[in-house]
Amino acid sequence: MKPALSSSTLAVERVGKVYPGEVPTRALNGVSFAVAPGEFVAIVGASGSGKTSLLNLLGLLDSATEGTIHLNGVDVTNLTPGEAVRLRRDMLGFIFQFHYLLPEFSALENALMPCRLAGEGQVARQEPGMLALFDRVGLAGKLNKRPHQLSGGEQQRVAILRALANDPLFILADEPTGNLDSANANEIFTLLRNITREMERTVIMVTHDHELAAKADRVITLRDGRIESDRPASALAHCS
Amino acid sequence: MASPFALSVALRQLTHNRGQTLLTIGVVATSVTLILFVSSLINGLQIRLVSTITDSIPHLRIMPVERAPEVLWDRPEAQASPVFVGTVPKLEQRQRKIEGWKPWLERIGALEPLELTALLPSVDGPVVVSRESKRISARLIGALPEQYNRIVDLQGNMAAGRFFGLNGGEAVIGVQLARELGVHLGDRISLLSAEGIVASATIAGIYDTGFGALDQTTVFVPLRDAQSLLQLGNAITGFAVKVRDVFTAEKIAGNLRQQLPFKIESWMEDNERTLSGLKAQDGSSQMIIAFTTVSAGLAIAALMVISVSRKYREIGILKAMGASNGQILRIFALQGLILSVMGALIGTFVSLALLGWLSGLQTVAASTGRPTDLFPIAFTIGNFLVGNGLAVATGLVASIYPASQASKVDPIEVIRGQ
Ligand SMILES: Nc1ncnc2c1ncn2[C@@H]1O[C@H](COP(=O)(O)OP(=O)(O)O)[C@@H](O)[C@H]1O
Ligand SMILES: [Mg+2]
Repeated sequence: MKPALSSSTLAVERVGKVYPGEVPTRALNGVSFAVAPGEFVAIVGASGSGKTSLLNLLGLLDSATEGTIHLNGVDVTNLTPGEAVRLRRDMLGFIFQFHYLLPEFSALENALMPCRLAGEGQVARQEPGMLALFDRVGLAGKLNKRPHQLSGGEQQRVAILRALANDPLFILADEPTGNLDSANANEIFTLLRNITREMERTVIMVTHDHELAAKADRVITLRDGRIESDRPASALAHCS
Repeated sequence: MASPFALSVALRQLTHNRGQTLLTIGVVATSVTLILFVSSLINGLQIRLVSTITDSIPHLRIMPVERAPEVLWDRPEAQASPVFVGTVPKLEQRQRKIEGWKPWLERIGALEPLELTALLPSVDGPVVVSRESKRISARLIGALPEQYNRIVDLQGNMAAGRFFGLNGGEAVIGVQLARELGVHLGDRISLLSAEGIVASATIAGIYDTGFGALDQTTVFVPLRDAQSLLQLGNAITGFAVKVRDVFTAEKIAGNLRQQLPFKIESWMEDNERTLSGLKAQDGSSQMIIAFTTVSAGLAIAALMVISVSRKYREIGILKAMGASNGQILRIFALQGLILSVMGALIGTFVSLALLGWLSGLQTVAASTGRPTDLFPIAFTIGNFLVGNGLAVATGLVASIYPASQASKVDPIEVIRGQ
């Protein structure tokens, strides 16, 4: 009965989310899908269709009202806050529309912040790899710059490196290019796409830029909290 | 264990927002300075006041019991028989004295071996001092000079001559009494006791202690001379006692009263009004310290609440990345701790410099013409610990509220906010 958990690294089964309140809001309704390791999935949909709600559930920031979620074979539907914190640190990387880099720390320190959360040993282990990544994204000369000394595109590149700092299995990105002009958006997207492909990371990216979504492996379209379509990006490109 | 993450973020934020950090440290430093200054000054004033009282007198005087008049009808025999009139109690000798005092001396010394710093027999009585046509009534004290010097330092305050090694037929008097009598070292005075005995004595020393009661009205002679002037034989009129800590005098007196058949008076009984004044002063300095502490705490809390709300988004994102509530809490608790420790250190430094400068200032006392400290300052380890302890505790307490607000930031709300 269960979907092939072993072959998929992320599995969402009949997940629903209702926000309580005077008028309870249903944000997600019977959402099911599975993502294979290394897949790059774009989630699109109108504003209010439930994209962020879904990403928050996958990011263990919120809990589902119904259904189950498995990450890497672990049932993460009902975790204690402590377990959620640990899994977020070990398995997940986040990218947001705004970079939220800490203004008091340099670019390199910001990128290594998730390691620092896990302990100084982790910083020492990941620093060489991080230096290579800075080189890779063309920021080798800006390691010690503070966020305000970087351009918008550079800030977001540092934020991407930060999401990769702990070698996470999953990268969750909520409109990572939403705050950039289209040239920069393209560049950042391509970077994210290439790096995660090289590193074989799984990416779930929310976007409302259909051009970018078309460059993913797969596009899931949400509408009023339900999956309206779920197909390979090539198919979507054909449709539009 | 303080996590390096919380510590590094706390330190970075403090050094990054330099203006705000310096402002907060300044508030704490000012408060600590004020606390240390007020407590040292009040401490010093009290020590000065108390020592002007206690340095020149015995802390305890042990004397024969004054017999209370007995009420005859309270006696058990009177209640048994209404016609009982009672025996007339034998009238005590008018002069009160302690005979055979040597064993008592040992016994008293053994009762409080640690608390008594001086215990000596003395003879004390009124006397009229005369020189030619001048007659002045004074107080005669007879004691062994080397012993009595532990009660008040006369030897160290001699204007002329000596106190130690006082021989029979010699007397030591205060500088003001000498001036009134018009006598100098080596002159002779005559002493007339209430018992009608007259003796003459050579002035062997003139002291200038600055204590009016001593310098104006007291005549010291050897114990034996006083005993014969007051017709005491080998008896004494009492024991004079100094205690280690002047504020325990009344407690020690209480202990001794329970175990000795003597009347015991402490300096504290005689100076009740002064002591209650000191208590009121203590109370008001504690009020000042309390209000200063509270206002420093509020300043720290206010500045940290602002910094937490400015960091709201970064806190949310750190939490999304896997920062625990405890790690976020520690960032701000550490900031409160660091701010208050820095402020306390600077405040201590500033107040020590200030107190050092003030304690060097001198003024000339109008009454004695002697130079004295303008500010009697007594800085104690206790003041230091209280001032710094309060500052650090306040910093921590003040940061609890903002730190717990920070740890409660919900990453979902931050993400929604974008
Ligand atoms: N905390 C909340 N409380 C109540 N309703 C919410 C809350 N968060 C989101 N919603 C509602 O849930 C629905 C989905 O929102 P969201 O997941 O943010 O959509 P999207 O990211 O696609 O714009 C919307 O109708 C929104 O108003
Ligand atoms: Mg959204």
